[in-house]
Amino acid sequence: MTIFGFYPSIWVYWVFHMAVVIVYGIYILTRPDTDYADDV
Amino acid sequence: MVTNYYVSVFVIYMLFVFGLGIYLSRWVKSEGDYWVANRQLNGFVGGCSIAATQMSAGSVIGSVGLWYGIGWAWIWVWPLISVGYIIAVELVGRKMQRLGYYTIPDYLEARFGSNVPRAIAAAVITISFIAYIGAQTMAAGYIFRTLFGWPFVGGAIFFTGIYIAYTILGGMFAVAYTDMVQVIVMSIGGMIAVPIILDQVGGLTMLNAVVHSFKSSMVGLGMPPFKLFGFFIVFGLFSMSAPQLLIRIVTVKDFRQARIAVWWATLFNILIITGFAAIGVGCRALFPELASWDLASPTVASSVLPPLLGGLLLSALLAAMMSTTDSLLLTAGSAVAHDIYAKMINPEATEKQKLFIGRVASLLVGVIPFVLIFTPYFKGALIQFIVASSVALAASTFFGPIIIGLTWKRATKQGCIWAMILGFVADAIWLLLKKPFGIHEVLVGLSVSLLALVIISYNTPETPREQLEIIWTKKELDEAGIGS
Repeated sequence: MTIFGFYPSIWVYWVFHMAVVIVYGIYILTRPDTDYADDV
Repeated sequence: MVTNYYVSVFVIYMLFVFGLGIYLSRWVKSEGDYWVANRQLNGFVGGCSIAATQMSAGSVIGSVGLWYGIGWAWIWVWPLISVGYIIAVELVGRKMQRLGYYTIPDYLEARFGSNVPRAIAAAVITISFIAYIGAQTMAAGYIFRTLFGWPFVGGAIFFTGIYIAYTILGGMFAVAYTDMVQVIVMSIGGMIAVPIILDQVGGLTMLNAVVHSFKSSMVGLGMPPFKLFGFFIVFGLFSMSAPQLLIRIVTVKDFRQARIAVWWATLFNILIITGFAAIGVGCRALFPELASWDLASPTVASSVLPPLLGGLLLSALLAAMMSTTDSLLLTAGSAVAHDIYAKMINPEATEKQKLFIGRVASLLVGVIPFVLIFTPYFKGALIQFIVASSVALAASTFFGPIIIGLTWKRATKQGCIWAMILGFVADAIWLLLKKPFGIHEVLVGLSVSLLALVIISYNTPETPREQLEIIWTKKELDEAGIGS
């Protein structure tokens, strides 16, 4: 199956890489302030 | 060759970057300002700097050449680079921020209580980065020759002169803020070319149909999965352990900003890589018979895009090279000036002396690669593979001692020293043997290094608690059951 002429091995790349950005972005946004309390 | 319009855009851009670097030199008053921007950068600038440092001639010339030659598959090298940033900052970012040292060898000495790891690390950084800088300088010489008709030497001198000047004057401030400008130019330059190329080819589906007709694998995996996996691992491991990338964690204000920096870097990775991948594959559809794969991105800049955008893309190519080279220069300079001179030869040096030596060392490690690019090692090799060999050497040497050493309390000084030495030697030997069985040298170097770290650490006395207290908090050591 192709999407825009790509085989799955290629379009899965964008799904995976975007997922990395989105998931880590959510992780950072949801860190409580206490997570940084001992860093000073 | 390109017209004067392209050259004008390009020259204006180069002068802007140069001027910005010189302007920022007024902020440099101390060694801390010079090496780590006084730890005052925010997450966005830090993230731009990480992404810009990662994107090199290997990305915008070598990788685009590989997209041209083998198709989209090369894009799979990049996700592990982004994941590598995240793993690195989550594993060691907090400790690095807490301590706030200037160089990676500083951390090795603090962790293992000896200046031997510092000396080995400084030597490896200097040697491997000189090769890496040489690859960037060589790529710049080719670009100037191809596009402007300049002699190779003239282009290389022009490139070397500009980045050395702003780096030795402005230090990390100049490097980080010029990186920010350069990564924005790379993103715009890469992305803006995509719709124009797709328009010329007839859309994305048509582009893929055209390159599929050349070779079906161009829209699939494109090379043996094992080989692609080797590159995936090489670049991923390097992004976790590269000294010039890791030290960015310390240049930002706090750990929260370090995480934000890594997030921005992963986002810029996707933007820039998507743009440049489309440029490479699109170039294959439009110009299937180029003399060399490495000509793909300069050809698109000069023959596909209108002058203003072509000039912008040309600027993006040079931006990628300069933004990597300035960081390498600063890191290699810090290895010589801070780790060897200030910490080992003359610990009593004044702030002014350290700053002066830092600038002299940066100058030297910029000039030496310029001389070396005329030796046989550099001639005739595809740029991507020159870069890959020098990053592999550094990854084989540093991954164990830095990433594992800063997370595994049982690692010892002897384990660290032998992990660095044997990792470097195994990688170099495997490379010199021309990669027997098709196994990438980093897989060999890294395996040897990690084995050495674990086996030797378990067979040597544990690191004293007072030494570990420099890296870990008392609470962390108590929870791990490490007594005094």
